[in-house]
Amino acid sequence: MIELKHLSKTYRSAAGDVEALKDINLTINDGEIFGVIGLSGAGKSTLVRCINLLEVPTDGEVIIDGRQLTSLPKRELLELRRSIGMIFQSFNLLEQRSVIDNIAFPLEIAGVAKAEARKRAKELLEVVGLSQRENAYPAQLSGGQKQRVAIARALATEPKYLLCDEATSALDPNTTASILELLESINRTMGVTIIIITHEMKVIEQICDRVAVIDRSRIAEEGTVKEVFTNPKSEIARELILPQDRVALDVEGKNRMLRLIFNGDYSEKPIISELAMQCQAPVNILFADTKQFDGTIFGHMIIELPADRDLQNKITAWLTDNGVSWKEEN
Amino acid sequence: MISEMLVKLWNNGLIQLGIWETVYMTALSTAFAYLLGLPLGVVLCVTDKDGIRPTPLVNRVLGFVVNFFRSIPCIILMVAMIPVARLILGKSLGNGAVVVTLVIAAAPYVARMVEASIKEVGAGVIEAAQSMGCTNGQIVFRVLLPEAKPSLIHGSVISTVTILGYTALAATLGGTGLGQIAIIYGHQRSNDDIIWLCVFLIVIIVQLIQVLGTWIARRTDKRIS
Repeated sequence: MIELKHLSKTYRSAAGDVEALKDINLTINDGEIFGVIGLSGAGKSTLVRCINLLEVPTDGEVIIDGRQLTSLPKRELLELRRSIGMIFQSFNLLEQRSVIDNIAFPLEIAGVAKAEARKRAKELLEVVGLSQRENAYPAQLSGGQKQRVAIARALATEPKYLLCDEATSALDPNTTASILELLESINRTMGVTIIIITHEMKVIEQICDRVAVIDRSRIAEEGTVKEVFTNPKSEIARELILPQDRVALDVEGKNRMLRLIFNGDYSEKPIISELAMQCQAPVNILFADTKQFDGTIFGHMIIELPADRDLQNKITAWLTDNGVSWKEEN
Repeated sequence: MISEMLVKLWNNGLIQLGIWETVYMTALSTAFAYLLGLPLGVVLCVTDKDGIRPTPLVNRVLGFVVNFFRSIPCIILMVAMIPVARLILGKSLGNGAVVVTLVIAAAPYVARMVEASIKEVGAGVIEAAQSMGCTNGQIVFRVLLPEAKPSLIHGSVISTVTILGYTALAATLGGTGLGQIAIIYGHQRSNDDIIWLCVFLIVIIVQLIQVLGTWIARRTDKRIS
């Protein structure tokens, strides 16, 4: 279990102090996949670095399995870091070492005999599905493959925890999905507790059990992914999860256009077909970005109304009556 | 026109000896300059404010010493180092003394080259090593130096060529080699062809070092192949 208690981090500089973290309280349970989401600059990278003390908090406690990290002697801290793997956005592989030697590296550091380290590295290569590339060098690999090597390397010392700092942010959507699948299977099969830092909602959606939303150095809200998605309480969570007006403004239609907004209040009924049937009016969908989460619809849609004024009024009235939020788009 | 002097020097094997002396003084000085400069460069990196063990006092003092020696023109530094050579070798003239002064002149330069190479290693890689529980010693010997190796080799080529240039000045201290031949037999006795031959030979040696060094650096760099 990882506990963060009243954690604060202030960077002091001549230009003034920057508070990266303010009074963070979090508990991460064994075996879960815990997500931390926030916009860039919110403090999430600092937060994850405080967990293995790559960043030393200015105030507060980091407690891992009952041990207070900030008061550990240097040597014990280095030892403890072997039980916390870490992967990064930029992979951070050793460019001059082959794939297999990269994976064996943390074992060599820990004093494991070379032959045994290589044996373990080969097993891990299999886990991440890169057995054929063991003698390749990082420069010869794609981003997704590099991240797989980094994951294998992070797992080499059989850590209990795995910290992922924007691990999929440099990858394309398909590769992101496959890396997330790999992380999920590592969590399920090896029981590794995973902490994921990201700015991408889909990462949280796809694999996290619980999520904390961080905003301007503070935890804005925290809960199971389901809770936070279906009922976001903080402004920042709403902004991250719910439809945003600023996207898709280039839609062009000849007639009056409406933007329908689904905030999760409305669900189940197939509204467009009901609208068309009950109002006896054809509507044209110009743009839609909606997703279902736990039976509830989130997203927005832009529709073009028929030219007839009366029909238009009928449609807007129907929408209002049926509790669909809408606004003019033209 | 080839001067008589040139023919005489060649037949006596003095030119050939000069080539050899230049090469070995360069090699010996470079080796010793690295013996001093490499650790110095590492310490400069490690103690830097963004280094793995920021130690401002050490960094500032070493940085000052390095800059101090680097800012003295080589020829003046060499003359100034004569007493030091005497202290170490018991004599102040000859090729031994030249090597001592060359090392002192070149080590700070090498230190800066090494520092620049090591600083090319990404902060992310160092952070990854720290996250694995590497000690600072392990980071230096297993991450920084191996990762910087191709760049260090490139740097050593530049250093070697610079030191080769310094050896030509060594004639001032009674050092031998191509520089001395060019000055004594060429310049002082007005044999332009000897000067040009020495220039030509030095250019050849520099080219060989450059080509060989670049080849080794490329071969060892796993980022390219």
